[in-house]
Amino acid sequence: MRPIYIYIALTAIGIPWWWPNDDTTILLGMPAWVVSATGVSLIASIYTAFLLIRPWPSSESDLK
Amino acid sequence: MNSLVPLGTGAWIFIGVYLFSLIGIGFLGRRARRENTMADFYLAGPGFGFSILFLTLFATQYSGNTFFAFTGATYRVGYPWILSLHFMTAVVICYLIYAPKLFVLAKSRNYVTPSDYVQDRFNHRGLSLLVSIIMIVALCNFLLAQLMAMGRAMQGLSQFHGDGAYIGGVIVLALIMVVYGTLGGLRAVAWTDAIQGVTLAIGFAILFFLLVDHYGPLENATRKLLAEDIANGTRKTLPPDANASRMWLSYILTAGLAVSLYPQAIQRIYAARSSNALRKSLGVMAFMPIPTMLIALTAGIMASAYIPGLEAAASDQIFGRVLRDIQSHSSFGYGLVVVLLAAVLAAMMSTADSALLSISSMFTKDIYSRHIRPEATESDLTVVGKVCSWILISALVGLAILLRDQASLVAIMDRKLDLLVQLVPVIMLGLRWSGLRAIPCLCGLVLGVAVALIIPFGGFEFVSKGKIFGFHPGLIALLPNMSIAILGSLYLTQDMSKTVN
Repeated sequence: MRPIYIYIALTAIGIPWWWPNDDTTILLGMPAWVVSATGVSLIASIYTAFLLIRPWPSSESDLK
Repeated sequence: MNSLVPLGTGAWIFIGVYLFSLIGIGFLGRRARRENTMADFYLAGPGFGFSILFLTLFATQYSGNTFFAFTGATYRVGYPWILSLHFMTAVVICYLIYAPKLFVLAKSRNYVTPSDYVQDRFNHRGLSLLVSIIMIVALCNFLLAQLMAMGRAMQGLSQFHGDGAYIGGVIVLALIMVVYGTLGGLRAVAWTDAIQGVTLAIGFAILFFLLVDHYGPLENATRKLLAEDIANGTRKTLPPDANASRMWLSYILTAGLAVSLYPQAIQRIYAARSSNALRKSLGVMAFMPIPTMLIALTAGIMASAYIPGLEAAASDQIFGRVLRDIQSHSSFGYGLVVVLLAAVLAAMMSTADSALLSISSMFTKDIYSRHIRPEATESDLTVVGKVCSWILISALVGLAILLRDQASLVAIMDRKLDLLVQLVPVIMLGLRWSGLRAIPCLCGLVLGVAVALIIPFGGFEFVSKGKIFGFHPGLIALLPNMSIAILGSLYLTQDMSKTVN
């Protein structure tokens, strides 16, 4: 799958618009929706690091 | 920082020695110089390996003021400011769009400034000049804000709350900064960034444990705020509503795209010694928002629960209040706060000096050399760049002193993200799509900048707190900007193929 679709999906999950408006669950000392947003951010970081450490085009001809 | 316990003589000597030692780093940077060229001065010659590159990228993205501003924002809005974690991650994601290709081009074509790429890609002097002007205006605004923050920090640190401390602070800190910046160029700036980055990272990691030790578990603070939310109808622990969710999306896109296009960040991509060093540095940068933002968030939440009552602008001082609590908690806490304050002051300087160096390079290379004196030699241009730094910093120090009581005026001028995001088609799309043409880009850019400035200053009824339905003016302006660039380029390509046929 192309990275853009993965980032769109992560953004849609990372913004807690889908979370119940009056939810008061606390998890790990924080509201549960904050833990969820942080988790999605961590997944985005891991995926981004994975994309970054893959080899890049090494010469100008690769750009064309 | 107005609320800190007055510092003792020993603490002032430590802070003074720490700050003046930065000039020594400027001399070291000058000694490491290999040739008297712009590439050596502004990009440190062959560039940086992984560790220095990572630390300078970190110090460029997170200024000392970030902790004050983000802790203050968490204090005001509560947990919803976790959105900062998303937009700081988005910055690194946006590097993915353009950094790999730009790095290869920069190394093969010897770029020094962002506009070197624009001129090389589009071969249009008007477009590259406009890109330079937008970047210089955005960075001047950024630099002025940093200078004013330095003055306020010194005012807060000293026991004299008059204008003298502010004026003296701005002048002395700016002087130290411009001296080491003009002595050692990017080498000195990146080396000081590295020291600041390490000190801040270690200091704030210790601070996190001291916060928990002093205020108790985070859960207690969360439950206290939750009870207040239920009693008062506030939303410091509750999920964002529909309007706030739109604002989250806007922040992620605007800040992610614009901050990744800071000229000083682009120049650090040029200054990577190898693609391996750049890939590793950006890879580690992808994880930095989590510890950095979570510490600022924790400090803000604990302050919101246990130090209530500060309103509006005063809430930006809340990080100082937290530091005071830590400072008076133990002698270890006092020592840690002194080290952190020195590092925060130096981090503000290192953020400002990166901007200053970038402005000086763009004025010298993109305006003076390209439009005023094309026959100037490399050593002439380096001298012009240094003179430019001194003149610019003198002017901005004067402005910072004149505007010291007019924070709102600076807030009005603070449109740098809305301006920088207009460069997305020229830089990001230009690297990804060979069909993009100069004239449509220029027209789109002019319209985008105009719309981005008219929306917040036009006095429209549908604009609330500078945004439309929670979206930044810059993001809204990017739509016509991008549309004109793409559709115009498609039309020109079609027209050209008809002519050829």
